[in-house]
Amino acid sequence: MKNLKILFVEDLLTDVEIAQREISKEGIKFEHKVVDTEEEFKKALTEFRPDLIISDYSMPKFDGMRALKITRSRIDYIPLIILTGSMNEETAVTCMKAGADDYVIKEKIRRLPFAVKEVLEKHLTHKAKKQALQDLNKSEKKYRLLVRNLNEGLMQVANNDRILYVNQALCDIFGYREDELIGKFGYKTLFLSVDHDFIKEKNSLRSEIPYEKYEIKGRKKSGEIIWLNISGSAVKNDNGDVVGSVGLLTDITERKRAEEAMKASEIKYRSLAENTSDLIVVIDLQGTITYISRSIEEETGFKEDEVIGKNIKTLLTEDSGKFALNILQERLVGKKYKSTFEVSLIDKTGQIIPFECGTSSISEKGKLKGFQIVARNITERKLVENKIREKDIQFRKLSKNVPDLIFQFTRRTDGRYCVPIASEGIKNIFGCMPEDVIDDFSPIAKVLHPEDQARVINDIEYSAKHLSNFTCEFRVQIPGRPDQWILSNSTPEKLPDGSITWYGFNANITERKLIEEKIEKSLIEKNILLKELYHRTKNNMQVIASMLKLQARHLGNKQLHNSYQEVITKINSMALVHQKLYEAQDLSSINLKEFISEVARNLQKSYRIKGTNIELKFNLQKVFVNIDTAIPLSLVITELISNVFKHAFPKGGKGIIKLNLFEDNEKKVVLELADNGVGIAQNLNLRKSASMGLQNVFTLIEFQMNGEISYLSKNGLLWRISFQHDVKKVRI
Amino acid sequence: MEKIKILLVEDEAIIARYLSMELELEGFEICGFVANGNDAIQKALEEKPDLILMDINLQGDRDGIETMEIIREEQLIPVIFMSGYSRTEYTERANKLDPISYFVKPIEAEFISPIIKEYFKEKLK
Repeated sequence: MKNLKILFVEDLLTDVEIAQREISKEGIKFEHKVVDTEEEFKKALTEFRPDLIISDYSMPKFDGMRALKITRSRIDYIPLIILTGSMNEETAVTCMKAGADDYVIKEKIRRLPFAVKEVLEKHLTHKAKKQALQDLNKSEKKYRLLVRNLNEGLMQVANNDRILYVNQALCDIFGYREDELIGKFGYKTLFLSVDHDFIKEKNSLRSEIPYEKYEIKGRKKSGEIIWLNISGSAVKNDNGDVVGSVGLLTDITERKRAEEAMKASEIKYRSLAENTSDLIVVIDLQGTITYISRSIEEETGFKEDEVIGKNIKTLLTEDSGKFALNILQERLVGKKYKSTFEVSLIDKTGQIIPFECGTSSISEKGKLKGFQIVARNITERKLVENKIREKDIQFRKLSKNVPDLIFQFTRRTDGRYCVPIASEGIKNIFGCMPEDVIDDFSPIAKVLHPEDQARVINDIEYSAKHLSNFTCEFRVQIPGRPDQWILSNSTPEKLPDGSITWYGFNANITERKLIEEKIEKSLIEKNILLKELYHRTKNNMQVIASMLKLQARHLGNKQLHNSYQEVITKINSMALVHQKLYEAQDLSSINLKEFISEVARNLQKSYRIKGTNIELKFNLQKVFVNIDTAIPLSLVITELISNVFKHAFPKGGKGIIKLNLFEDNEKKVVLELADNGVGIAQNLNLRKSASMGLQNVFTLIEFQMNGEISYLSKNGLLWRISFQHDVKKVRI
Repeated sequence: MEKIKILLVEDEAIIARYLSMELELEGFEICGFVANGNDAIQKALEEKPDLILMDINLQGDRDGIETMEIIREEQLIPVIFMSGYSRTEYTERANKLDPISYFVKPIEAEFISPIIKEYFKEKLK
């Protein structure tokens, strides 16, 4: 330890010596320096650096109060003792007030060493205390920093719940500024009125329950309600009395909400699980049943507690157990698994019941803990399925040997087509398998002939729209096979869901089509031949007519020439029948309306040249006749009209021929020919006349056409001809 | 008075004979009758008739309309068509050649004659 350094401020050296002696006497070792001016004193303070100053109160050049003032103006603390010759009470008090540590009167110098010791001791204690205070200050700063930066809200309240301190996090939780909270009542400001009494009670019981944790609702400045977790502890003063509380607050609103939602969903789920007819099973990773819904009893006869804790395998047949655990195993290693699968349960009586299961995994904190299985009794569905399967097998057996396709075809509400049922004949018709088209029309669409596709789809849509029978012939192009003609026939039906389904068949009609094509081709050929034949016949008749005309030129006999002329007109009328026939669309029937008027006009032209002036009046309906009727009729018409031109108006002048054609009530064709000419003598029977032409007329109508012919001579001559006619009946 | 010179193209000889006789009696000159298109072209260019009476159905590959088209490339000779077929089948093609008339057989010379006379009435005066 270094020596104690004492600075004496004294003008009398003897006094210094006495003081030194007295101090040394008490065993205190020290160095010393003596000054008696202010300058020397200041210099010694920085150079000598005394631990203790002993100063005379009054000196010629300096004084104790001044030294004290200088000393106390420094940062460091140097103890100072006033040593004086005489001192009254007043001076002593002044010195002590000014900061002196002690004072000693020279007459009682013996007290000096004790004063030195005491002052030094006091000084050391003070110094230590100061250090401690400094340390405390530092740690408090640290602590405050910590509190300020704490993520959790921190609040200190007095016993009456007035807020003394809050940190930033607390302000953030509630949305207040610090100055808005300090001094306010905590319970009033931050909590709900229903909880005020609760909070006050907590604070008042702080001395009995110094620490506790609880969850409570709080209210933010915005009015929003939040959930808080509070850790409260008592704050005590130095005497150990409780003076308030400090609370650590955490906003747990999110957690609370999640908890509440979970609780709600759990309640919902539980009631669902308990009330559903489906069986709900929860198992752990070993397959042990940890939960089973009440419906287990109804389904299997087992009670819940008979099953819980057992392995799921014990409920299943051996195969099903292996199968189910295998699926869960696959799921465990993250493999893809079937979303639903079927298992067989054994009930209490040993009967096997089919169930369909769906599983979902149960995880806790991201770790797989088990599985939840929802199982549905599918006994009835199985029965139906089996029946359907039986029917399906029957249908397949039944249709297996039919080379044609028997099918059910469906147009779904979205407009897509599919073929739910198809017989094996689909291989022959479309080159695909029944299962290819159950849900997909494209294997068929693909092979439809491109030229026929649009038409087929159009016909399907038409049938769907009008629910009319679907009949369509189309071609199919299957790679590696020649094009085939298919006939499709089916009846549509609208299903409750709005889709449309057809039941029907498709047959290969390629051979029939080929024959039809041949027939059509030969028909065209036949028609060409027929047309040619008519044309040639007509041509030949004209040649004959021309020959007769050439001959007639050379006759020189008027009567004979007229006979030739009659024959020529008849040949021309027959030629006209042939012309009309090849002009006819069907090459077999001619329109009498056109034919009669044309014959009459031709005759009119022929006879007008010979000086007659006879007008034609037609009232003709459309009547079609075939060649068997047309030829004799043409001869009859020609004869009768010619006769009018030749005989009815012997004196020339104006005449009228009326021609009426119609069908009577009995569907007989009636032709009337009337003129306003001279008529015939009353006693003349035309049937018995010598005219070859008229003889022919009666014979043709009555004998050949099985018709009726009559005449009436009144204001001219009226002919009435009627005959039964069937245009389709052609004599072969 | 100069006679109207007519070339008769008709593959049926009897009809051709009849027509030519009748037309001669009506005072026309028949400068020839031929049965096929090639002969018709040759004869028409040789004889340069005033009129051709042309049957549409002829022997050989060429029909009457085609034959007339070829003749018209060389000579602007008026034509009257005759046909066993109804008008509609050939009318469109025939009309391009602007015929004086179009007759459907049977043909009576007495119907043709007035039409020819009417057409050539300036020349006949």
